[in-house]
Amino acid sequence: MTEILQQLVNGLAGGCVYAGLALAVSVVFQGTGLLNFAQGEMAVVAAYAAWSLAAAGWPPVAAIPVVVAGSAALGAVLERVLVRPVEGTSPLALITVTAALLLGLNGLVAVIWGTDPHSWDSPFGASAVRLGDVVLTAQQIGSVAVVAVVMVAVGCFFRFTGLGLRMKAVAINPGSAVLLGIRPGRMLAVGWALAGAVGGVAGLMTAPTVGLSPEMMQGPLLMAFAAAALGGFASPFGSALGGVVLGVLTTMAARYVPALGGDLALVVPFGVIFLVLLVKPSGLFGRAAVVRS
Amino acid sequence: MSGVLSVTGLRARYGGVEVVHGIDFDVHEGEIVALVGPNGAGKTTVLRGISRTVRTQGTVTLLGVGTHGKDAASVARLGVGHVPQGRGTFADLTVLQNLRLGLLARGRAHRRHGDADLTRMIDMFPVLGEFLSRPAGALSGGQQQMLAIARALLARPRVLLIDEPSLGLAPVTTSMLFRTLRELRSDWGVSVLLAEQNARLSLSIADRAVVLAGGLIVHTGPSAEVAESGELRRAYLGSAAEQAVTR
Repeated sequence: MTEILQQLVNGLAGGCVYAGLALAVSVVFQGTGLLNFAQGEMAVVAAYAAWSLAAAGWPPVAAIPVVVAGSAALGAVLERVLVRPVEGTSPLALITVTAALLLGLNGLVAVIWGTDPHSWDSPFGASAVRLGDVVLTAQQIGSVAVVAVVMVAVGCFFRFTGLGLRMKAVAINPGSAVLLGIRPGRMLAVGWALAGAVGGVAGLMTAPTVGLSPEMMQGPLLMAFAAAALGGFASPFGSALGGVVLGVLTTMAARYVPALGGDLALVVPFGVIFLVLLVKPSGLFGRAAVVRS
Repeated sequence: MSGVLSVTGLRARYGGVEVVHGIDFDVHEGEIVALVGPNGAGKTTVLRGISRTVRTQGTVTLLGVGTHGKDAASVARLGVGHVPQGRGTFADLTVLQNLRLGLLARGRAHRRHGDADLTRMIDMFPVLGEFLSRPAGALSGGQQQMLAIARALLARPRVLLIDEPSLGLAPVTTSMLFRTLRELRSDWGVSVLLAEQNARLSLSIADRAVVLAGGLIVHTGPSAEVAESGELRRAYLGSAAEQAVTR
């Protein structure tokens, strides 16, 4: 039983990495109606920037807010410079831009920081808490708490604020949003900035666990897309919860299904997603588009 | 009455084809003006030109402020509400969220009346009150039309542009809609420019009519005068207007 609980804790902590990134993917989708393939690489830039500040002697309490704010600014700049010029052309053009951004940022990280992996100490310290025989590290507790807070904050932003409502309106029908005095460009920039900040947090939570490398978020990004599909791209809560569910399922499958070692463990969560999407294509918490008349 | 909206020399083209050929007209404060004419007359394009959702040449001024060089969002902020054909509701948002977007669009002067105005809209369109938490896309065509108009009105525009509001609506719903417009014109001082192919309907509530044909204004005058002119009805307004007078 202790072993199962320990695996559950490990799965929850791992799932929080997917949850954070899935949350960022969902934010861009809610605010712009677009899937951002470069979300993981934006998180990598944030992680490396924080690592550089830490190496320069910045304490985490100072470095993290600066990096999160910088990630937001990076998101807004990328939207303004690279995404907006192709807005309104075709969905394929937008997908191509974010895919190119993925490759470009990956190369940029390698040029600036090199391709050698680095380790980075957890900003939550190296201590651990014992609950019976189950061990919870400070990194696990901290990352779960941070992702939970971010998830609630993002959910409240879209549900209760005028800015969040305007962003959703632009993503759904930019032509009508304009007639209400809403500037789509500004809303899209805010959406990318918010996603940049959330993705930056995800990068900071991931780096101490998987280590720093230009490819550190490629696996998590795939899982984040899967998580958002499972929970619903249009639901920040569903996307984050999907990430946690995937983390637990993957960990459990790798530990308890002998034939599914290593990457083969991915078969289980993706099998679950396949079944969910067959029954509810908009995801567990997504709302299917309703169009009558 | 003072001119709220003034259109001078408005021209519009789609590709190389000019569809509106330099028209002039005004809309005065609290006035309902019917923009009538046959299919292809340019009614929708004129509304789009005023709200800057299509590029035009000429001058459009709202309360003395020119809209030249402004984008559609800026024109909306100046006080132009536009309910386009096809309604333009946000299908995935609830009815209440759609209405809230209207409230968010209003100027500072009207913000403290938001709740009261929302209640009034729901009183005017009770069906919206019944479905506040329902996605707008799940409403019937008529209900969506009411939602689009209520949302535009909640922004408290100085001029409301409405394109074919009767399209797809039951006659009783259309009558209720037009009655509401007349009330709000008096109560909120909103001016209305109504583009409607069903001339009988629009002439029945309008103060004045602008008759468009082939992208040109062929007549302007009191709506009663237009409704009574057999020549205009036969030439430009079709059978609907004929029926209006023969009834």
